[in-house]
Amino acid sequence: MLEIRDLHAEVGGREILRGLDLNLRAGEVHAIMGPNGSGKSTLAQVLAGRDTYGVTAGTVRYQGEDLLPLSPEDRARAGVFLAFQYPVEIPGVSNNYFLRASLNAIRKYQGQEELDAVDFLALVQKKMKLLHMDDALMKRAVNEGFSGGEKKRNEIFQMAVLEPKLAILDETDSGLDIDALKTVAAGVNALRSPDRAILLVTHYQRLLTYIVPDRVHVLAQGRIVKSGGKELALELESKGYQWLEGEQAAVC
Amino acid sequence: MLALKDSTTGVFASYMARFSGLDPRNAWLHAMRQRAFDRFSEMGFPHHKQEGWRQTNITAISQSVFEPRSAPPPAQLVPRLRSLDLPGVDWSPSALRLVFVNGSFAPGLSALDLPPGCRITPLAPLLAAEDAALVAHAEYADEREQAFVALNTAFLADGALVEIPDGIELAAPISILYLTTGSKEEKGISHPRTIILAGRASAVSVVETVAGFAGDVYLSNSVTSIDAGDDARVEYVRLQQDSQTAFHVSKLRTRQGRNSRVVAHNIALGGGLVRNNVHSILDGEGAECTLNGLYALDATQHVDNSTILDHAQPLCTSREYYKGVLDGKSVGVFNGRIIVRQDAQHTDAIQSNKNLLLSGSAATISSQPQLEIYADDVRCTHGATVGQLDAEALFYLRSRGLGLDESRKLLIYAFAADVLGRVQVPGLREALEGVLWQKWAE
Repeated sequence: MLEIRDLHAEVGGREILRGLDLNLRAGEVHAIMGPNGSGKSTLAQVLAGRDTYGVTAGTVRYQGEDLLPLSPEDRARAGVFLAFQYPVEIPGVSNNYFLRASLNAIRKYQGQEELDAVDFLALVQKKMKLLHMDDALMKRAVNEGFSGGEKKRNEIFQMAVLEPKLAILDETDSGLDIDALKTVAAGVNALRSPDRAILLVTHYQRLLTYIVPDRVHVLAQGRIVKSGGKELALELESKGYQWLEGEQAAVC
Repeated sequence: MLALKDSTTGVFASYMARFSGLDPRNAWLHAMRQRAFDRFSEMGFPHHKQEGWRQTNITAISQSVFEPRSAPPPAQLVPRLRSLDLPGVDWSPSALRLVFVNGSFAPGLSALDLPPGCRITPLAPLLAAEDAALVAHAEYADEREQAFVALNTAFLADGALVEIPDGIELAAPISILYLTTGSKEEKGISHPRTIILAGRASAVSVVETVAGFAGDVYLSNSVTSIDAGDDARVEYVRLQQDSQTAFHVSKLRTRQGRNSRVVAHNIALGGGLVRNNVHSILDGEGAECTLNGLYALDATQHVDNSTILDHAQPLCTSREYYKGVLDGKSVGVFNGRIIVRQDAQHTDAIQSNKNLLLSGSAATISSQPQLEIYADDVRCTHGATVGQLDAEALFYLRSRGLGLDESRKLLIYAFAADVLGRVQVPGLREALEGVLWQKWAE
């Protein structure tokens, strides 16, 4: 599904990713953990196509194709989804309009028929139940006046509607209380499927109690420095990131 | 100031010749016109070194000859009119509609199914009859200071009167269209005049559209006055859809009685060089006035909005929200003056001017608030912003599969959404959204 080889990326002349390798297969859930400033969010943004980051070397292949030349919208249409760490407020645009335009842009690109208002509403109502969301949300402006938790939940709700093939969740657990975390985790778990890959970017082990990953990677100074099973997350939690200082390079 | 009498151009001669040609037999009308023409002759057109006109150079108006053109024959006019996208004009047979072409009432294009007791009618016959309402309202002493208002009064011949008696609430909006034609060689002119008199506890909505055909060159110089009685509610929409080669100057004056509510929208979409003057007088305790404006400009359009909110009595509320979207090499000017007179205690005034400069454009905006406060117990706030499209928001939309153009359009539209959202006239907001969507799709 996703193959990253020797990825280097910079912002404002400063190199953040320094030779990152990662291999994520369909059906798998991988977690990327690491201290602040290790490059976790940069990786998420680079994969979604944010142009403030420059890729200086390396390759990213998505479903066998080169991902990097694609615009952000074409990546989304091809099935890549980023759940933002800081979802953006867009006053004046309703969730309803936004999500339907988004879904139909993706469906059109994938050769499917666009959904009319009635079919869209039915789909949305089904997905809202999954995340215990209030119907009134669809009429509100995108993320405007939402609490931190509501914004994160809205990201996962969008993901549930758009049904991406590759979902990247950037610090989705931050700002969530335990009940909201469980709801969001249940929403993500419901989307686990043999033809979908999920990349969880997180600072803490907490989320991984509820969304159990197949693999855990530790990112430090722009590279994967250690990889392992789900138990690696617990080990990190008890020993702290300093434990890995001096560890030798990646085992993917 | 540029004294016209000393001008060596043929401009004054042209106005003089036309003024001399007006029928002087109606003594009242002629005297009023004569006073106005004398004022205009003394003052001349405002000069760009003059206070209030520094950011708007109207040399192209003051040094060109504009003369009224005859209306095109209906067979030509009607299909062309229908091809214009005028969201403010209700063409249905049952509508309340007054259409003026080059300053004269066009009965064939109008529809007047008059509600009982109301007067919604062209001015020409009333002027001839020396109608009491016009004697009282066609000339304002405080407007004699303005050359364009004087010019409008000097050539006052037709226009629209909307008079709603006490206690009558009119549900259906009234649409008024002023169409002006002209060409580069034969520049046109019109002086639209609208008088809205809303009686005590009455309610009325008026949508005034000024428009022209693409490529036409003309000056439309309009004056609108609104007099809202105690407890009256008036919604007034001015849709400015002149051709991009046209010149437009307007004056809106509102006067409000106790506990009345006036909402005046100014949506500027067209015109090459535009100056809109608004003077709103809150003249009764508890009156509320909202000035709601949007200017959506591109190419070399220049639109200047100069507004005065005049709090003359206590306990009045004013809200002024003007927003601009500027592309190309367009120029926006906003001058928002709030006057709080000595007696106007407990004034509550908020002014906001927000501007969006589209990326890659060479557009400029000048925004200037002016607060003159002579009372001591008041709340007045103002704020002006100039920004560009939010790159984070743009990326967020694109990351959900929306294309770059669509994402840009959606964000521009979202920026303007609250201004359009204040338009209450049924169906008009949706129609305006459609027009703007088209404009920003280009």
